[in-house]
Amino acid sequence: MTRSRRAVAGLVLLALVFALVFAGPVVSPWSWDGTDFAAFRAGPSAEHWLGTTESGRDVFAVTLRGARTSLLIGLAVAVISTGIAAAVGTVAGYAGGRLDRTLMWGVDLLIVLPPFLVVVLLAPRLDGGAPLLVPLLAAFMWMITARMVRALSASLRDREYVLAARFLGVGAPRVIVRHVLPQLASLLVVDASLNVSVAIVAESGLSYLGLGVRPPDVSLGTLIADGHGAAAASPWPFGFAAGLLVLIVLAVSLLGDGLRDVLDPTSGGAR
Amino acid sequence: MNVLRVTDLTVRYAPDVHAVRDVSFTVGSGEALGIVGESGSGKTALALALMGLLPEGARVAGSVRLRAGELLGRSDAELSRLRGNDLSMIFQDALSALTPVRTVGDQIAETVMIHSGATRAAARARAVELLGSVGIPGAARRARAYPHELSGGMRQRVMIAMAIANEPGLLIADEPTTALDVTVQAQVLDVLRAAKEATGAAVVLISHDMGVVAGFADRVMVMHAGRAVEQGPVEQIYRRPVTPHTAALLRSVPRIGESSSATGAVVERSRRPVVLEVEGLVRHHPVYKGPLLRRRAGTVRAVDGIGFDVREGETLALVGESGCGKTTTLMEILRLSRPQQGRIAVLGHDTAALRATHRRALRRDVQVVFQDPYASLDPRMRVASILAEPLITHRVPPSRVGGRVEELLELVGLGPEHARRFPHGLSGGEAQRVGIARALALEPRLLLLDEPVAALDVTVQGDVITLLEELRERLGLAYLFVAHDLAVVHLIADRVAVMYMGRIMEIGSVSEVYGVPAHPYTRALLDAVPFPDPVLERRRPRVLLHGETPDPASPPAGCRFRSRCPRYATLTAVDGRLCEEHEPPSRPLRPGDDADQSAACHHPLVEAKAGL
Repeated sequence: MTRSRRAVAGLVLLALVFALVFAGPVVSPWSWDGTDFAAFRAGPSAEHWLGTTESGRDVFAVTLRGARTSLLIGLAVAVISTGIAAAVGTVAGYAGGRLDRTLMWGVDLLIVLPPFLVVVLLAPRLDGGAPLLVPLLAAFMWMITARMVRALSASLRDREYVLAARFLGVGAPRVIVRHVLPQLASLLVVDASLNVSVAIVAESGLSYLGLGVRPPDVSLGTLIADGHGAAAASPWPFGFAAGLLVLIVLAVSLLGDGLRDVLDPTSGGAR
Repeated sequence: MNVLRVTDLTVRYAPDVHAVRDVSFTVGSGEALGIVGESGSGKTALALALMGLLPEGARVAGSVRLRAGELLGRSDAELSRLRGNDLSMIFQDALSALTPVRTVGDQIAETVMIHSGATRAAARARAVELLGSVGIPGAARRARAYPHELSGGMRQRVMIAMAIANEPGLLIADEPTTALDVTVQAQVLDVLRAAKEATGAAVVLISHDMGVVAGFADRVMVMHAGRAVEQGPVEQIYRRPVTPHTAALLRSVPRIGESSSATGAVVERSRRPVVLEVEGLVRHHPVYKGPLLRRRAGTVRAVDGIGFDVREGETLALVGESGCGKTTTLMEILRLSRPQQGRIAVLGHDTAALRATHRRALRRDVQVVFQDPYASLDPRMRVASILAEPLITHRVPPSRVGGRVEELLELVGLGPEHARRFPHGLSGGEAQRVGIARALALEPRLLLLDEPVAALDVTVQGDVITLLEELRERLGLAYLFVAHDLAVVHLIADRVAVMYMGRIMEIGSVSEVYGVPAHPYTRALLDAVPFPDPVLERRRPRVLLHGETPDPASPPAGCRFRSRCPRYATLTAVDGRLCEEHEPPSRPLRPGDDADQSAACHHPLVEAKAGL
């Protein structure tokens, strides 16, 4: 499979998941928060396409709802955290000197803080559910990447084409945007795509502990946590949620992997 | 007797990508065959094929016979018994060819043990003996050093010691001195020559440098596009080349002794305006040591008080070996800000007094061309955007950018079709032309050139130098040209400044400095440059420098060239005192004359005129 085809495959897959997640509820006769008191833990039937959960919710509808929440959280967290990492890292690396030391001092401070403890302490006080979870997760995911970006930017600063731009009189922000960031694009794209899955997994962990998405709202994390105990007896609630999670992560990493090569003209192909 | 006989050797990487085509040659024992050619001519693929080190996927056909045995088609295990024993190889980059985590003594001892079955102690002793034989002082101590602790010249000596450890019948040297400075290159070639004579091995020397081959080889084979286009005795190839390709290759080698045709300046030097003025420039780097509490351990005096001026329409070349501070000087000028000490004035503006907006405006007048054309162009941008960048930065109206880009391409001899290419789609020469075009986009008055042709093949070098000459005349530019290649400098520069360890040793017009060098270092540098003529190269008398540049953090007291100076070595104790105690100031040699040659030496080779 060639690189650009891989990107297309990832994109198509992701589009399909999005279509399913947003069009599914329209097609399904059941709403995600409805309860069918006639069917608890039922198997697939014409009425409930993928059966029902222990509490009588339609598996198809509720899983799509969960996937939607997870997908949105994952994408938002990835974009925000990679964005912060790119901004802080390139500025610190390119500027060097005192600004670099100050920014990296801040990064080191945040790395030392135990993120889980902070989230556990903060989450119950700020009762916001998913919208609050996004900045909270993002705030603890960008530091390592920022350090990597800083190191690479610092080495790019001394590249001859960056020096050439500087000696032409191009200002620092423009040099960063035009010459430094594009060189880091592959790293950032891969980082963002990894962060999507990390964020989804982190969200599900917190939700499992009752610190993330709260009932009655659902996410893939809460569904997997709820369903895995009874997975042997009724595989549908667990299987469908886990399958969607794998599909999302696969689509995002295919897209990231493909994009990395499309973005780099030296990696063959485009001449 | 033939040691190596190669018949109809062909190397293919893909079904239709031929790296080597039908090459045949023989090398006898004690004979040196030089293989020359430009990059991509198949020299290295040939060497790897001989050693059986080609990457997987390469197809080899033909025959390679070492003494009586056929090498092609043997298993890797069988070849491993031969490699390092019957045939061995000296690579270009000794740092990556040596294992970084083991001492050099151990690595040589390993070669000895594997092939001769000697005991560890005997192998160690042999390693020390070998290191001594390649001219490494304090061999027993050096054997315990790791590769990174040795200088480039020392590492290459270690490679030679390792290669001759088992007295092989055949030595293959792939660009063995390309990464070294000229003075060290001359030393290493002498070691290689001595090693050849001591072991009686056949030597295959692969090089792009026609001068190195002229001095070393008995016979020469010229390669082009994978084929051996010509071979024969060295005098015949150099004096009476048969094929046009060989003739072109020889013609394009810059030689000392041929001056540039265009001596641009018609107006007398003292009447032309000064474009760049540097006085007492200093750039010191502090060195810190210690893991936790970093304390200052010393100072590297990269640039240690230098001064010169460049006038309109002329080229001043800064020459010297690696680490002498020439590139640092260039970067200090390009920063356009206050130097640590001293004064830089560009077009009469003192850089220490510049405000940000003024500095930005002044950047239009001072531009730079770097050594590696690919590294200096953003790989993600097309040529058109690369050339548009300076224009947009300095607010040229967008409607005029396109036209100007085409003008620039034409100016450097490229066509409009190049505008759409990415840098990696250009040849080295084309990429360097783009680099020059970018530097010229804002119509500067001073161009700083950092080894602009060092990364190019000789035939392309000539074209780029001619282009630079033409542009200087047409646009009235001034060049500050940094280079290590004295032949190139001779071709392009009007004046030359020879640097050593952060100081200018000698400065003057090219004809004076090359014709009557006053400083012993200049003399030695000129002597070390290999001359592309086998007869002259072997006959001319020369002074070889000993040792290598000392640690720049602790230069010798007094004159910093003292530790390697052939002149100092011959002085009486009384005369030598001056060199030991006083740093020689730069003094004009013939004051009052039109000439302006100065040298920083207490005992110059040319006596100052009597009575002054």
